[in-house]
Amino acid sequence: MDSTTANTKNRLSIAGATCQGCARKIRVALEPLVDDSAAVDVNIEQKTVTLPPGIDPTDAARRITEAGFPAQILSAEPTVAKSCCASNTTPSCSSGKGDADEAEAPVQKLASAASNSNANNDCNDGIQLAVTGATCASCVSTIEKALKSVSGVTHAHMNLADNTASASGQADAQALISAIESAGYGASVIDDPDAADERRQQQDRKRYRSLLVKMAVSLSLGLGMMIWGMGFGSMTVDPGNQTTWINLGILTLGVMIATGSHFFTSAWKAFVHHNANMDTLVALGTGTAWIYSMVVAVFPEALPEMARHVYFEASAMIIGLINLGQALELRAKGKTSEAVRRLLDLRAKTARVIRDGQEQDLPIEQVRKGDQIRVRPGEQLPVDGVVREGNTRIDESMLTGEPMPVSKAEGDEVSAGTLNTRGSIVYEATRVGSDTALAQIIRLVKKAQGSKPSIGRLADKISSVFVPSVMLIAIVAALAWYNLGPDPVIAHMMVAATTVLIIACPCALGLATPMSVMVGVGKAAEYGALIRQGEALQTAGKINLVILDKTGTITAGKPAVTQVHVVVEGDESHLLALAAGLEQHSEHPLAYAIMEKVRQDTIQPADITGFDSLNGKGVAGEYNGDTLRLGNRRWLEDEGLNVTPLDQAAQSITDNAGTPLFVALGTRVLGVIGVADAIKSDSRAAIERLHQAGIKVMMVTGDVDATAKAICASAGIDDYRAEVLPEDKADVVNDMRKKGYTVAMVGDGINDAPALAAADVGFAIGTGTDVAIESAAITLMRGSLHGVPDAIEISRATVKNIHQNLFGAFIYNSLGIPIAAGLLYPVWGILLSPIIAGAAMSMSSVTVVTNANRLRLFKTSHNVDNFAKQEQNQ
Amino acid sequence: MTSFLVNLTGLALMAAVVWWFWLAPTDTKTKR
Repeated sequence: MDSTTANTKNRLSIAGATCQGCARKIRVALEPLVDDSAAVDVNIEQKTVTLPPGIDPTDAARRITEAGFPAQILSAEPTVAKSCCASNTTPSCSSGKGDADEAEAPVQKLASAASNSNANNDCNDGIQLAVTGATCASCVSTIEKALKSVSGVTHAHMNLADNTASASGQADAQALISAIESAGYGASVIDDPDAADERRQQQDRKRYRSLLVKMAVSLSLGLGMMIWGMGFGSMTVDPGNQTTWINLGILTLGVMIATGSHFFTSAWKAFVHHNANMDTLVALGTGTAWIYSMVVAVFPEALPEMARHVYFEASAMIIGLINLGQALELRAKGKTSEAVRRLLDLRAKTARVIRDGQEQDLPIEQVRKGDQIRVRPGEQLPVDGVVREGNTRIDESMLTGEPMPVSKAEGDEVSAGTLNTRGSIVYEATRVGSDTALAQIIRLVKKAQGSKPSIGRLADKISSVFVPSVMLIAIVAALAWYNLGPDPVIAHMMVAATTVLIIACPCALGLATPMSVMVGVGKAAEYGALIRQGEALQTAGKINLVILDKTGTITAGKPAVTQVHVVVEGDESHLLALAAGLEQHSEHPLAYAIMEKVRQDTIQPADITGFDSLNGKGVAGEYNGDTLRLGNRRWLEDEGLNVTPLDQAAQSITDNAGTPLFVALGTRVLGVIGVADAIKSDSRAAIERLHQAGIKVMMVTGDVDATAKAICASAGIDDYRAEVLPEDKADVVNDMRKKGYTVAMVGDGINDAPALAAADVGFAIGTGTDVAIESAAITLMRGSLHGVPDAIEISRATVKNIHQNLFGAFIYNSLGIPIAAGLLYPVWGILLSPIIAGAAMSMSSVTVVTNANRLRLFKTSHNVDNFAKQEQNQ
Repeated sequence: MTSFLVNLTGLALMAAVVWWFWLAPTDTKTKR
């Protein structure tokens, strides 16, 4: 038995229980599961059943439903507090499930799961820091090393894409800041992530403008000198222009300080801490070019005539081009977090609060828990809450990706950021500020965007030794030119060393992975798939077997009319009208299925009098003076009716895991209605998409072999494991992993949690239980299975994008550095100019960021618009 | 002589890079 079941008291919601007799029936139904049926708490008023620890809730729900009271798993109450929560008094950590009296909506479930995940973060992920001064992959490894050096830190992570670092463990925030500062960077604690984001965006905008100005100044000087040199003689120093060059050298130094001081200060800070970064290369390259040129300008006689060439324009232009590159990179970086920004934009600024009978528009920050809020059609909901007055349809697509608006009536939960499409409602605020589902989702997406898949670690390892290695290569190249190169050797060695330093670009390496992850996770969120770990993004792309839980995953998880067979052809609507006429008086789960069917088909229930419910048999009433019966075969046969003409139809219903309900009027049997947990309308299409992606699909279910086989056949599933006990699902996952498959498990129930955790990637259906959501790496906010192929397609595209970026960065450096060192000179006489190297370096990081942004245009093979149309037509 | 000095300087610089970035004890390394 899994730990979840063993340590938790599970709560189920029940329908149809009205008296203590019902409570007794429920206890009797659970007797095979519990030693002492008195330990089962049946609350008739609240319509809940609380199970003692150790009872499988799914099995219990099934037994209660079979006893005639449709049951659904509500939540799990941990009997043993999580170790994390035991020492943590934050509200998010202490959010027990005991108050979950009502069935939660998908978004709320997600919020509470996200909240729990954040609660764990509070305990384990510790402190979030905003870092300044980090520019490349070398900085990332330096900062991570510095954080890990602080005693008590168990894990540290730096994200270059949004310049944040996190450290888990027991460390003090001040010690972490000091560690980062002593490594040559700036750091501050992020108290309010939203405010920090806004601050960073403002800083980025300011920095962008400043970089453009600096770029204009340094490029003007560099280009000016180049044109002047070419137009009025040469770039070589002679007695006639020596003073001019000295003056220009001083002017260049001034411009270098004004427009490139950040490279030099950052390089120095890193150097004194035994670190090297991209700025070290820029500072060394431009510094070497300027010092050499100044020596030439002041002491031209000290050098052979051929070596009296100055490179002031190179220093100025390199700084200008790298400033331009950084500005472009900053701009492109901003676009990658568009998904989060779109979520942030969903937040309403004001709310129409009713206090003391007065309606007033208040800023969102002033809305308190318990406030009554009015929302009119077309308005966005400002906070989470429960509808108290009115009913409407709410568009939740922005949070769940579900295209159809959802009906909401009194007592239903609603979420901040969603759109009220129809009626005016008044609802009570239950979660405000950073506790809303929207805020939790934003936090979850941001966290995943910052996480790093293992593919990125290779780049980190390389870049930590990259810059010093480039420095060594530059010296080797200089010595090679000095000893083996043609005259002027001094000038050649200086050009080769400078070009090597300038062309090497660790920033492309550093940005390759985080940029793509950021866009990929954001893209997945747009499709309603919340990826909680960067690693899952990488693994999801490799999945070759998807194991699906049946109930609630492939099927809707609630009974629905699947088949209608009539004795007289064309009489289906009449049969359903008669059945509905009877069932509208009943609270049986099968009655809900029939009522739902007539509502969908807009069939008016027949007028029935004298309704009577016969326990274990069916229901009966009077229609046009005749007795109308709806019930099981045995009852009708006992009444002397002949149901044999419907034998084949009834067999077809039972073969498809359905319950046959016979309808008879007087002595005439009219037909049979099949009610079953129907396969979701889009499950088959989603499974087909998985097949197209080359993925094998398997189903695990507790059903008998024949039922499982029937479901597999109609849903197009390749393989199945029937009669699997809930606790054995994880074993099936492990078996398939041992056979060499990369397994994704998709489930929604508490009993799926161990299997979700055991799989390479766990997908939790968002309409499922909190425990399942917490155990899964990916949460599908929409109840549809299409989320699985969507997430897999996005993962594949993202991993491909990361590969392209890393390949580009490696190829760029491994080709660029030898060419810059002069490897092509002996054959073709090519020696790169440092200016070309500067432009190439800037372009390499701009290319990486642009390629990552290309992912934003990615579309999955499932067209959401078509889906919406399909739904509307149904 | 100049050639010898240039090469020696180059080698010394390389040794300095290796020592400074990989071998020298730092606050970070010692704390770890």
